Amino acid sequence: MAKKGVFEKESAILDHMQNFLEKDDVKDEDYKEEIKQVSRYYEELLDQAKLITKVSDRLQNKLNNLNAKLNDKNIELQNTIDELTKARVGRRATTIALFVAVGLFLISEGVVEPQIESALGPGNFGLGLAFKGVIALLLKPIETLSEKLLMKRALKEAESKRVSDQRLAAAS
Amino acid sequence: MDSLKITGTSHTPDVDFNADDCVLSLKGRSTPENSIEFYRPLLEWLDQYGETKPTKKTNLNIRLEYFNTSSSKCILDIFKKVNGLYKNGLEVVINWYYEEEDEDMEEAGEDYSDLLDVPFEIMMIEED
Repeated sequence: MAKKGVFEKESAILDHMQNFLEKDDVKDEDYKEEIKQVSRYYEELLDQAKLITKVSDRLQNKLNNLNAKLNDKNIELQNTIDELTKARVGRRATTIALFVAVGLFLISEGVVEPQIESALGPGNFGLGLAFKGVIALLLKPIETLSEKLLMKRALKEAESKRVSDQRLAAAS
Repeated sequence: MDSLKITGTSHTPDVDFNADDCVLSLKGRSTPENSIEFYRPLLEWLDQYGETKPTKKTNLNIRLEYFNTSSSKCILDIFKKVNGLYKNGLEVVINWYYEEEDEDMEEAGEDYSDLLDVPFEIMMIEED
């Protein structure tokens, strides 16, 4: 009985009907009574089938709606992660550009300008200033280039993490 | 007659069938692994409850957030049992509560109500 689950009562009715059909000496009135009962049980079963089908469809609908909501939230989350990655990469690129600029400035002060002075004599401020101007102008392209390279690396890392997560999920 | 109390879990509803007050409540989520195992004691309790011939009006309060397909069948079995008590002359009402905007639960109540003769009230609970 227990293995018949939620339909144990219905299974018992079916067993009863099958036992009844195996009987030989059954009166017409008994047949009539039994058919009446079968009709009543059938009606009950039909009601159950209708209800369970509706409930099941509704549950499916509920799950579909939840899935749609979950997908929207995932997209929202991904967009936020992308924005955060972009901000982080932007900060790193600015830092790199600043370090390069400081490096170039030091080279300009310590190497280039003494070279100019020794080659062209003192008083060539214009050339030194122009060199510093070039360094300043280079700042933005250096930052953009670093940002692009760092973003490429971050996307590659995110993709490899996604693939390994998928593999882990598939394995479990 | 003893009351029946079962504390709810994430898969089973809270059950509080109080024979003294004639208030029977089922509240929470119903997605048990084995629905009939969970609902059988409730059905047996209802059989005994019917035999005590309660004189007060019996309120069966159902407030479910979610139930799976097999639970829907067991809930129908409970309602049929209560319907039987009503047909035997007991004063019974089923109160079906659903949360605001939960149209699925509201419609489920209507579906059950269509199959029963017992008074069946469908009531909305406003969200906190």
